[in-house]
Amino acid sequence: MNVTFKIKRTSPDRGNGFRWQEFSLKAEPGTAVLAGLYEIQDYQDGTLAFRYSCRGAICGSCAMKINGIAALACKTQISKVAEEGGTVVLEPLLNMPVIKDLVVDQGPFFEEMRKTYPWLIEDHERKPDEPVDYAAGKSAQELDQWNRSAYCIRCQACFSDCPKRRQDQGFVGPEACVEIYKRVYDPREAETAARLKRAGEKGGVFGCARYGNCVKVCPKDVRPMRAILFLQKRFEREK
Amino acid sequence: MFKVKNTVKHEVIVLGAGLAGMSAALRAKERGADVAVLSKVHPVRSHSGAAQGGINAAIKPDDNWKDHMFDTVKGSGYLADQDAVRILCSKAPETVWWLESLGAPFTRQADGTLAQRAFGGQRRNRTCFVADHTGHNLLHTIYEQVLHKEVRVYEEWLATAFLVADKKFRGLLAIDLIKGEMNCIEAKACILATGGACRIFGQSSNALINTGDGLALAYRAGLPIEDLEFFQIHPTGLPNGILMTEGIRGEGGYLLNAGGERFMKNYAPQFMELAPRDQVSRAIQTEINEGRGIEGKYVYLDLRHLGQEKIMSRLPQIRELAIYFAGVDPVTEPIPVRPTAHYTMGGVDVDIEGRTEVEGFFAAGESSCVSVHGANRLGGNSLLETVVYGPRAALSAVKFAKESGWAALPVDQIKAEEARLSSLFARDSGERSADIKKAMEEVVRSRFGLFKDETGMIQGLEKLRELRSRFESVFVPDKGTLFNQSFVHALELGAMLDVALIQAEASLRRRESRGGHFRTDYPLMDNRNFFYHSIVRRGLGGEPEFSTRPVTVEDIPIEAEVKY
Repeated sequence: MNVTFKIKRTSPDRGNGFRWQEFSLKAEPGTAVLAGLYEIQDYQDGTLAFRYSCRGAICGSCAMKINGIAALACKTQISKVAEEGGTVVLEPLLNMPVIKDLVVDQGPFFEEMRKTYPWLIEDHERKPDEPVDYAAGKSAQELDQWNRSAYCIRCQACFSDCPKRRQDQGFVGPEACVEIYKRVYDPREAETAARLKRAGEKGGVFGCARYGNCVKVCPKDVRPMRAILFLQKRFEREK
Repeated sequence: MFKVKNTVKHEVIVLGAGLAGMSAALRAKERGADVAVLSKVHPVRSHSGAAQGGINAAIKPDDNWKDHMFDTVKGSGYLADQDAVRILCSKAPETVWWLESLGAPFTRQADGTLAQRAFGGQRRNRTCFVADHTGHNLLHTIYEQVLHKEVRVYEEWLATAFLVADKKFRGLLAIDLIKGEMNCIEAKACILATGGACRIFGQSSNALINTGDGLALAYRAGLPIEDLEFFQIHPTGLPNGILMTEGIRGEGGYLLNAGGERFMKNYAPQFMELAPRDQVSRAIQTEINEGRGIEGKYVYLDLRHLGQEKIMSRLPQIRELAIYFAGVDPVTEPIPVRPTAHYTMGGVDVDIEGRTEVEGFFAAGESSCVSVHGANRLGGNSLLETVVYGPRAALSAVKFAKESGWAALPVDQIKAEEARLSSLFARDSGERSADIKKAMEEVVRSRFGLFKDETGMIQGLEKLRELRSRFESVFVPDKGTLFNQSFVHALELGAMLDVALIQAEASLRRRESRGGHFRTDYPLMDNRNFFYHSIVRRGLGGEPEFSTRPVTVEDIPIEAEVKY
């Protein structure tokens, strides 16, 4: 099929502002948007910049705005987002400064994540080979959410498309809330109460305005807002 | 033009931020070293994250690390060094528990103990896993610890040269891709952990970043490269190369030809779909070559008999990959698969402490060759190697760094690298990287793939040399400094061509078949003449020099051939 890629380009080392540039492409059925970008970079314009690594939806490098919605370019087939002769509009993710073309500064995202202490705080009483019941103290839905949360690839799609984060940079964003969920609901975690208390503070899980974009754009179906709602309920229950 | 802008100093620099690199950095930090990690991508984008199946450890009462060792040595075509395998397998249980204690959410059974699944070439269910995204979870778990312990990471820095003088490591040069600046990292010790190089095949399960940069840089710095004729071609990749884990067959998936026949019964009746990977790959390719493939290109991996519930709970990511990257839902349709280049058994020659013959230069993981995989790696042993040998190399590196002083940076080498980068960058016209890359992939795949032979390889080597000389006139279309990917691609292509040439030299000299190296003109294993590790190094004139190193044998006897 024949399509046009319309790409929002920014090159700070060649002047301020952005410009739109269009590229014509021929795509086989099943071709990913990412493969289209290589084609452009290799044969049409070698100055184009975008992140990539695994091209199999596991590394989280290639999230970008595709027709206005954050998605992984490797997981998005061109034929699913454009008709024959149609246009695919590509822009960098939102809520992070642009470095060049489709490459953003990931700093704000990872900084919010880091602020949640996203690592297991061990209970030193516990021996690692002791049996663990991940389901303990969780409803079936909460367990389902815990299993989903482990699939997060930290791709920033939810962070980009969260309108609340755009309005209020005091809100940690959806992914950071998933980090909190992972720890609070881990039966091995020693600091559950302290984490839950922090989660309820300003900018934490109650910062969510329930737009639900994070659930729609997540390429791994992690459902961040669902994690947020469980955390809110648990906070209220245990405070 | 390129000039070193900043020079920073660390006692230990780790190159690569996958599981081997980050676990090494953690151990070094724990031991009080000033350590930093450098990676051309953000750590969680590393290829370790793509490992689906699991990590082997003999932790159950009916299992024993000696059995794990036996299976590993046998699966390796007896080429693995048994002292190295002994360490790998005996340390496996404590290493898995260590990962668990860091937070890795290993899948558990109803009674709360760790679940283990069957993997090819092993007589026990020995593979611990986190559903079907084990590597992803381990990588993120280790990264969380890197954040926790505040290890410095130079993200999106591409190393371009090692500084080695008088057989001693001095530092490395790297480009900060975001700023477009060339910097120097001065260090007493370096741990190379840059992963594999299967991108030279084009059709590969490896991430696009797996271009063998570290291997090529080490080779140029004079380090010996061991056993690079051995690449593992994984039996089951989607048409675009993405891996369908062996875990699928561990869960009971069938391989079917166009006639709907479970053809493995004709090749390995005892192990069927779970025969060692090299054997399954050749069986699939033979089916395709002899006209029993689907559309002449694939065979089917069939999961339908497992039922929707099992597929959804045990292999959810696999289902998703099949839907998004091959357009089929494994619940209702078989998945088209074909062999895909998967793992680099060879690498920088290291001893069991991760040391090389260059003082202060250590290596671990897929970019090294210790050798625990010999001619063929067992599934579930690669993640294990990274987390056993990464920290082990770190202990050696820290000890070395604490005991030695700083040496002068070789200014002439820095100047030479500045000139090399500047001249590549300045060229206004010439060859396109992508054209040379495509041609190289075709040569490597057709001449040095699943079936090799003397005539084909000689032609292939000739062609690779020609491509290497065409590379001398490659040009970089982007003349900007920020995030210049066309410059990165040119540098990566240079590395891939070096790796392709080294594996070609090594492949030609091994006139036998063993593990991942199969020659139609010498189809049998030949222990009398080829029971050794091959070593390729850059000679003083720049030409490759070939030598051999004996295989370390302990108590596992070497058989004349591997029988299943």
